[in-house]
Amino acid sequence: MEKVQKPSFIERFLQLDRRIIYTLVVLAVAIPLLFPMGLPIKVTSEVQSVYDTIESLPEGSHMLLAVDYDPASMPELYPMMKAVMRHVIEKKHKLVIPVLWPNGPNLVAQAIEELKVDYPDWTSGEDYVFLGYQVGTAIVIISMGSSFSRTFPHDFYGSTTKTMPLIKEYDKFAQTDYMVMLEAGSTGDSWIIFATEPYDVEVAAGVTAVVAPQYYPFLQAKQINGILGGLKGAAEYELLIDKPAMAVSAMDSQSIVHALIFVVIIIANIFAFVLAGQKRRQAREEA
Amino acid sequence: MTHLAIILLQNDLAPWQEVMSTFLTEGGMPVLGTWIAAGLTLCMLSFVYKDNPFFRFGEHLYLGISAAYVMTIYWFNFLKPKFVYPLIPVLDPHYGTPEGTSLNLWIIVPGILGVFILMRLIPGQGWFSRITFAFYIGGFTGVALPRIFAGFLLPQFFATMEAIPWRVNSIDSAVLLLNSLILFIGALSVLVYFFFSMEHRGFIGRVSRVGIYMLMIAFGASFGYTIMARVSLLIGRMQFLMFDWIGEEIVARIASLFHGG
Repeated sequence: MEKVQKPSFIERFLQLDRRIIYTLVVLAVAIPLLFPMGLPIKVTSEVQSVYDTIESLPEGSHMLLAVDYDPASMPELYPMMKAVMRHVIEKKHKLVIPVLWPNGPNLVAQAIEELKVDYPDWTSGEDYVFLGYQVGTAIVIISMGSSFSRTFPHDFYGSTTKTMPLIKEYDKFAQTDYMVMLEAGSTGDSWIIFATEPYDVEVAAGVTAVVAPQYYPFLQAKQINGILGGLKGAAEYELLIDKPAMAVSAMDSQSIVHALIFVVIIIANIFAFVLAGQKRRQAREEA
Repeated sequence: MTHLAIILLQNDLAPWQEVMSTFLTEGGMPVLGTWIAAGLTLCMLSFVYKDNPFFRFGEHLYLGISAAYVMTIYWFNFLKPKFVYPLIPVLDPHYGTPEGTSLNLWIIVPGILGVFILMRLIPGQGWFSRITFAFYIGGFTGVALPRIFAGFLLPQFFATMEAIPWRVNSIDSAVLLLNSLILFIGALSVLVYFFFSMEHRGFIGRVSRVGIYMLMIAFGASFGYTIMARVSLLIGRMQFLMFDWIGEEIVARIASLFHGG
């Protein structure tokens, strides 16, 4: 009778129940949230340039914040959106906010509500206009080139846009001094192709980590002047405006989980190579 | 959670209706919302253990609510103001004021084209939708193509060439030259890899192999970013469960137990 060989330590490790790894990941997230470590966060040049541009604009400049994401991307883009909006309010710039994702408007409404606690004088129609959602992505963007008020006759709250003081002075895309687009997909491509390139408007992208690699070619080609990439980008921006919030507090967990995944990948690869070597040796001996 | 517990404890002898009324008037709705969200989060996270009815329930509920929500958004933001009001202006709440929608019978044309798309639902009548798609694709291609060339393809193409610094007189310019060369060689080799009209042998084969390495590096970077994104989502949910649902106060007390405070 053939003797059944017990699996080696390496074999058992490579067949580890995935639920053990999930548990480790959950612990790696939860423990730093319970006991913050304050790991250092370095501000990258692509985030710094977004901050510097908003900082350098004269008071009352026209800014467009395109919100193209939904609750599925909220942990990454919501802190980013709030940090950018807070910076815009502090610098007293004028803000217009269109949304091209159907599930996005309520996120903006929530952020405005939360920011109004700190800035009660920030007024709809004068300091900002929240245009709400409109169907049609590229068509909407093209149409905003000729008129915001015709593309969005009413804002999110149902008020007529064309009578608003801000829209009277800022009704066309070409009047934009700087734009920040928050993207969880490829709507940003349409903004670049149909708006920022034809009207020569400077733009930055705040993106989820998944789509960040898609936007780096635009940065390299100077079609955008900065990228806030994922939670890390949001945390960097919170530090720059000196208002550490949700993103900064999440970065310890992010770093620890990355370290854990890094270690698991390295160990698994080493063990896989060792196991392959052992099997080759065994095959040679048997031959 | 603490809020609900306090209300229930304070009203242990009160009738149920009174408890509910106090709960709702004292800001209980957000608490209820938090509990529902926490329950659904746990339903969805339970999938990491294995597929189960709680996960299925959460998944179906999410899909159903999303579809219904998007439909209402389309109706109120698009169909009603842009199709119904121009055809029947009297339905517009601003009717009779300067802001009211005026009659526009031209809207019937896109309306009919829209109905053609819905004909796909009728067996044998799907060909109607091709008219709409032909119109839409033809029109949009005409609008988009020149802009895609001018705003996307050409700037990307020029950036690949333009970035190469031909004079090296400092470490920075040397690094820039190295980066530019990697970019240039990378772009060229990946293009060669996707050039299938020629057999990938000899020189072409070697260049396309460089292209494969470039693609693998790009996929690796994407994979790293994807991990970062997924972990961010998990952190978001954990923050919600720990600080919004369990409550910051309770979490701080748990943490202090370990600190010995």
